Amino acid sequence: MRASTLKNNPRNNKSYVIISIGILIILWKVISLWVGKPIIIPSPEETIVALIRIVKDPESIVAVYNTLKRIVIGFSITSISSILLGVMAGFYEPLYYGLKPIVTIFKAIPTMAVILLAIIWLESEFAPILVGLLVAFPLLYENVVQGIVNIDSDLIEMAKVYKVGKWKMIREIYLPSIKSYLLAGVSTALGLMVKIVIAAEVLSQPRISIGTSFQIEKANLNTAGVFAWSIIAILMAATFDVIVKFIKRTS
Amino acid sequence: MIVQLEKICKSFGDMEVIKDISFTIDKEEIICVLGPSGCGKSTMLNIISGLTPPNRGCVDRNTDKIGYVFQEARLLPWKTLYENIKFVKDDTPPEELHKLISDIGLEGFENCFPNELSGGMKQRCSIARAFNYNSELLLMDEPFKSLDYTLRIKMISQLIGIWEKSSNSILFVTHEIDEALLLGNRIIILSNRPARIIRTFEIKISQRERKLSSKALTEIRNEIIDILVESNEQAPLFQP
Ligand SMILES: Nc1ncnc2c1ncn2[C@@H]1O[C@H](COP(=O)(O)OP(=O)(O)OP(=O)(O)O)[C@@H](O)[C@H]1O
Ligand SMILES: [Mg+2]
Repeated sequence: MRASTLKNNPRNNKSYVIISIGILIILWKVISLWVGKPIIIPSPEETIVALIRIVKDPESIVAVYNTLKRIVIGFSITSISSILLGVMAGFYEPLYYGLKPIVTIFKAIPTMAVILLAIIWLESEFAPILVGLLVAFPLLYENVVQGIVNIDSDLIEMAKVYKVGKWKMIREIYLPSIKSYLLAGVSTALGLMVKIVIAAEVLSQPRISIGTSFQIEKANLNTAGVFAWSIIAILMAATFDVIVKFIKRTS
Repeated sequence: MIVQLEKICKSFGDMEVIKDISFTIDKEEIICVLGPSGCGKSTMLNIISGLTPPNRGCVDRNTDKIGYVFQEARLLPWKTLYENIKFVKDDTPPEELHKLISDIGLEGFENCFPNELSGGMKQRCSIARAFNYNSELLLMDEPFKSLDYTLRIKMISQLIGIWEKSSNSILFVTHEIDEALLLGNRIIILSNRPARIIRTFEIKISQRERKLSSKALTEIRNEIIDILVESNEQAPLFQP
């Protein structure tokens, strides 16, 4: 486990990330020069200008806040339900097979269909929440089930022989076993939710939100604005990632 | 009597693993079990510990304080050596835990995680965990298998020391005849699978006074070797 190459020299590897970002920006600049039409590919500078305009606009903060709120609400609902159902399904096989068709449907149904249905069923403010949580659910749920299934039964036997109490067993064996699976699921699910919730907002048009702002920039043919909002969304996803990594390291 | 086995039988599917094993483990007694690889020794310990139910026969236990050194170390990967030993009994004073750790030669490694320990160190950690538990019956499945010769001798005398102090009973599975000769009040020899008891030896000499080179122990050793070789004609285990 210690010999994983990706884990060695984290500091050196960071410099590769910086180099890669630099190359991407240069490539972007070159392509924008080559295309020559800011409405198709805006240059990095134009995007920065748009980004500054957006950041200075107080309404953008509200947009980010509203979208963030939807992601957090959707994520909370989906993580609580997927942990509860996942734990139960992990221990009780009939439930696992009973839920299987539903989970498969959630996994396979095109996101666009979910978005359209959610818009038909719900107010525009709530539709993106429903979409986000439905799309993230199977991911988290399956990770939790995997975590339970992969618990080392040898350790459980050991704890049973030594008459370790139920709560201690859950705290010291079950939870740590599931933790790595759960955190991996959380990290993917959050990244996915940022994308899906914003996509749903673009279509459902709640009052002030990142998705709505995307739509407005596009309607104004302001491609630099679309790029700038994309950067904000990417930063949002990256922030979630950092938080999850931090939790992973400290717990 | 601390445990009594009566006509225990166990099969996995069509494969008979244990056939009609009966014996009792008395208070303050060490029983050593010798038997060919794969004959069902670990299965027998699992049955005695209550982890595996037998197909037939019954196990009478006069205690529920059973310690078990499994064939594998079975440590919690997310806990340090110290925490793993503490895991089975939280209220042991830290001085005692540290004494236990230094007795098995692991001082300085208290804060290492299992993946930072060698196979033999993990094994010793699992032994220390069992010692910490203060069991009335201690099941040990080849506990010293990945230790070098001198460490083995040291661990044997330590085990005798702990046994003398705590006056528990020990069931000790091993492949090393010498270990059995030094430790056992009785030595049980098992047949090839399905395991049956083919012979039981009793050694009346106190453990502290035993010498492997003594006439009594040499005689028993030769007899055991004969039995083991005889029970395994096709593929001799030893060439005496
Ligand atoms: N859970 C199980 N399911 C099916 N077969 C099993 C199971 N546990 C053990 N066996 C079989 O039972 C037989 C005895 O296994 P066991 O582990 O008791 O042997 P052993 O005497 O401890 O051997 P060794 O000295 O190599 O440790 C083996 O053939 C093994 O394949
Ligand atoms: Mg075994």
